[in-house]
Amino acid sequence: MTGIDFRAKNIDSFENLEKNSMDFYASVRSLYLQDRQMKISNSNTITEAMDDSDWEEIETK
Amino acid sequence: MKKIFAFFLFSIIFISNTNNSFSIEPDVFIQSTVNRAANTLSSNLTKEERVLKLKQIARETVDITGIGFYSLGSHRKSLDKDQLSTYKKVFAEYFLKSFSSRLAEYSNPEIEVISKNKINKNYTIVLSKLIATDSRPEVKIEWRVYTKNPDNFLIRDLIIEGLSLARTQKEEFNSIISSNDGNIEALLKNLSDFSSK
Repeated sequence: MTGIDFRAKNIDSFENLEKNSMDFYASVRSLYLQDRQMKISNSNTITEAMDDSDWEEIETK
Repeated sequence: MKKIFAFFLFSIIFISNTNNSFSIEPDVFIQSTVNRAANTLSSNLTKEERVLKLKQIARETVDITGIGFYSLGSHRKSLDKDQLSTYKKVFAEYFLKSFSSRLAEYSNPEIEVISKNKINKNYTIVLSKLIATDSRPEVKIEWRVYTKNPDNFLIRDLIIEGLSLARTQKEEFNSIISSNDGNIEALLKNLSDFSSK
């Protein structure tokens, strides 16, 4: 019931995500895993939970 | 679990940032750009005019090429010169279309910048919040600002209640490439098809 309730409350967001994703499943999986990682690490900020190393390699300007 | 909703609401704001042709602090940059975005979204312009205006702002203030490279992950090292050139072009088109298609759903979000956290000389995270209304709760939003050039800050990521827009896109792209035996051409075709539909 929790899942159905969540789906119903966010139906527009899901439709938007589906419409604007090239790989809908991968997008949902990524969002779920990021949320889970935050909960496991008990972190309130993405800067604590996210690996920044890949960003450091990006130089464009 | 309002995060997915918030994630898409603020995808809009991600491309809606003001011109930053003078040296200011990252938090001021974000606040002023958010204000400008809100003005655009609440203006009397037609939907098409609004989208065009926001696309132009995005070209000026979001590091589209940088986000594109980040989204490729380790695959970016395997592209040849022609593929890289094609990727930059199709990614920019995809990026702008992907977000502009979401614009019509929302209007005039009120965002307040709270603080900033300088990670290193290249990056500052600006923390802000979406003011709660009767229909939605307060939402925390973090902006990854690329500060290498102090005269031209660029937004590289938007993190909504801990959910990173760039990271989600990176994992989506990786999934497409992996499911096509590592063939980057599959991603280029997907991006191109998305932009032309």
